[in-house]
Amino acid sequence: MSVQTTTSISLESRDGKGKKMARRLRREGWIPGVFYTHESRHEGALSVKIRTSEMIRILAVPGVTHHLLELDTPLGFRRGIIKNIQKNPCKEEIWHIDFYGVQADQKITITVPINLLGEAVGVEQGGVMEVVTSQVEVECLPDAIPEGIDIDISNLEIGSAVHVSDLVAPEGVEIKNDPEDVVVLVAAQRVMVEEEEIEEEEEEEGVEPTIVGEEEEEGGEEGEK
Amino acid sequence: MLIPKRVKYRKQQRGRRKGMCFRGNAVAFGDYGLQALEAAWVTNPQIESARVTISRRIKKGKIWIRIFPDKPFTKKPTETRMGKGKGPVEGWVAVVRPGRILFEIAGMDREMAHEALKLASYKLPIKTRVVERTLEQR
Repeated sequence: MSVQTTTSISLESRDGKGKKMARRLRREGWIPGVFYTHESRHEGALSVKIRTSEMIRILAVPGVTHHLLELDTPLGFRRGIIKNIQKNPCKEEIWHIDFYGVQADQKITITVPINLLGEAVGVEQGGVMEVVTSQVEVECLPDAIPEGIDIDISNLEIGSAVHVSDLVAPEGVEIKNDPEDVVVLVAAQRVMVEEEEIEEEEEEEGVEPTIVGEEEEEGGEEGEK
Repeated sequence: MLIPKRVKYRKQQRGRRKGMCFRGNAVAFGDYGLQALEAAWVTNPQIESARVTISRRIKKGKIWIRIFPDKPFTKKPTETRMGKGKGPVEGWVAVVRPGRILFEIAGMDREMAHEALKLASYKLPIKTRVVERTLEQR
């Protein structure tokens, strides 16, 4: 739950907007991005660019997406976070990055990971651990962003679960997720029985979906009778 | 095999499958996933075949099927003259675009997970890759 160290990123101003300019930048080894703050919501975002190689190096730092960063913007040094990363879904190619400038006295909402500590008893007994929620949204001051929320799961038995309400947030950090949300559970192991017989039976039935309108008509006719 | 319980209309137009999958492209439930790299219509027998392959290989653990064949496709009977309306429903497909996570698994070691998903990929009509859950996924 320790508070992280700062990473520095230099952002350069870029001219032009639109997909043509963005594609040209990407070809030349840049990633287009924007920098904005809570105050600049009426003025609009500042268009910036960052070297692809530098961004790849920064993103290799574990947990950098919830770290407080030192941003060297065209407006001067600012502190901020990475708000959003747009990626190609099939490749490790970054399309666009949003940087969000923060102020020391302004609370921010950020996603941090949940660190599961220990080995669940239920897993040793043959259960399967299912991580339902691996990250939580927290609200805190920029200097108090935790590295993660720790939870000890060593007492977790088969059929039991840890909920968001069981997580203990550090001082000054508020968890925004629904307290009822399940974080992790240990489910009983389902034995893989011979499924083929069951499948064949199902196929023989020749199930066809019912049509919504026809189903109602049939129901109506029956009702009239 | 997977099939819808109720549908509003019996037949559908073919539609287009250009572009990428911008939703359902991250491993959300399990630890490992099989991601589509091409667009295709994946039929319900193909989905079932891949699922059986995974479950036979992993023996234990959990499987999530992230696609559902909710699109009917029709076919005219053989040696039929053209016209006389659209043919009868032949089967059901899931429309898959590049990036879509098809299957997810959890509860086994990395090596077995990769092997099971690789075997499952042979049952599918598209190129795929095995992806792992990362904390940076948003």
